[in-house]
Amino acid sequence: MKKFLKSLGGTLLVLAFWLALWWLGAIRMGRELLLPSPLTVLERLWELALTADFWLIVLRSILRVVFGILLALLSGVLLALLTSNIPFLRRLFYPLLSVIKATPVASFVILALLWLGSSALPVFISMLIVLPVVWAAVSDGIGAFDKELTEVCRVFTLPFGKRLRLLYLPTVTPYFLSACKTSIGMAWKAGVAAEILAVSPVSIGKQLYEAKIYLETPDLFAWTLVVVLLSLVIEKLVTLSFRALGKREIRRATYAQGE
Amino acid sequence: MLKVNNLCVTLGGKPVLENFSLFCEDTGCTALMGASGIGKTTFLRVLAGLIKPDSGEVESTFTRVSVKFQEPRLFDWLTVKQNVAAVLDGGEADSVAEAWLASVGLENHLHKYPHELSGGMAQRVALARALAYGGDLLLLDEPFSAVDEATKAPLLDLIREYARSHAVILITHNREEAELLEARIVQL
Repeated sequence: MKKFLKSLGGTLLVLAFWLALWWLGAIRMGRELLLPSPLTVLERLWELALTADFWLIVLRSILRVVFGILLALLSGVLLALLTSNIPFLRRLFYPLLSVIKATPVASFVILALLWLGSSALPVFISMLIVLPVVWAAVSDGIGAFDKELTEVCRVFTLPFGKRLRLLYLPTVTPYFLSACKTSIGMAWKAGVAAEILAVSPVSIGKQLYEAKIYLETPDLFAWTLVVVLLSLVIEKLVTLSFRALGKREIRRATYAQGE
Repeated sequence: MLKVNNLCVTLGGKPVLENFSLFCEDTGCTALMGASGIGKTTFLRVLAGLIKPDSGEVESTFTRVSVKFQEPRLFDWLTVKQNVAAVLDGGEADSVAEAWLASVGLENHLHKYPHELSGGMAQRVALARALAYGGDLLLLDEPFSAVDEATKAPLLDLIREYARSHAVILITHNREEAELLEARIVQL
């Protein structure tokens, strides 16, 4: 408890420092249009939060990004399984993986906007950001299967279900979890960027776009704050849910690989 | 019964086993001895189905093969008991694992993880796992490496007892061990 309070105190001090710096900058600039004070932004955020539209917008954006992430997790794991086991598919898909990784999000947004509607676009972009990360991480995990333990499974004729539980999942899960952690923040940011460029209806991106058009800087900051907070909350939820799901084998594997 | 005729194995282009032949009854212990690198482990790997020979015949009536590898090869994320129970089926797995672990003197270490064990203790867990699996052919690759002399005696008794109703093939560099196991010695 003492340790927690000490850590919380430290975090609050750091937060206070950056807020003070922001405040001083706003005072120094003296123009809310260019840099609103933290208080103005929080007031605006509070006003927004009191409306039903705010929650609907937030929910729709979350749903789009989460759906994109889920699609990416599913397809990333499937692709990793296929490309790790079939050399021809690995050769076939590897260039695609490299192209997705190297292409700027904006290029995909512009291209995909021609094919997809403005509402589906953020889903696709979020998926595209997470897919190569999950694909590469799960492939690494599959490549890290201990050959000696694989032989143990073979000589003791362990059925596939048992191999999955005892060897495959504990080996791959830390890689998968790490990919989730690193890509969720990226997916969220890319999803919102896609919403802005596509001016998706009922979206945080559209609010940011309109705030820019109408020079509503406090709104811009308030919605940005929402994006940051949601990114942190989603990441924390993922970590907690994995911890709750995590059997001892998975935690032990995570521990063993972290050593 | 196991009948091996003119077995040849090449690994990485290098002949490891050349025209090796062996016969084993359904019960009893056979000790393979010979200098390092002569192909003893390779032979056990062929019997375990992990390597295909280049030529020769392996005729076997054994349907279930237990292996204790040279290294313990334990799952780091499982406890000692879970490591043994992992190769067993059914609701009795835990109690069978406990019984075999007790027979190798590890009844007080059931809930430890491999990294908490000494080298000798890890070897005993691997031996308990192979015995618990209950293969009608038990393959042991240097089962007593890293095991101290005081602990070794009851393990030798255990294997000798097992060999009364099963076939055991072990690799050892110690002739005394082979004699204590009442094993037929085969020099490679």
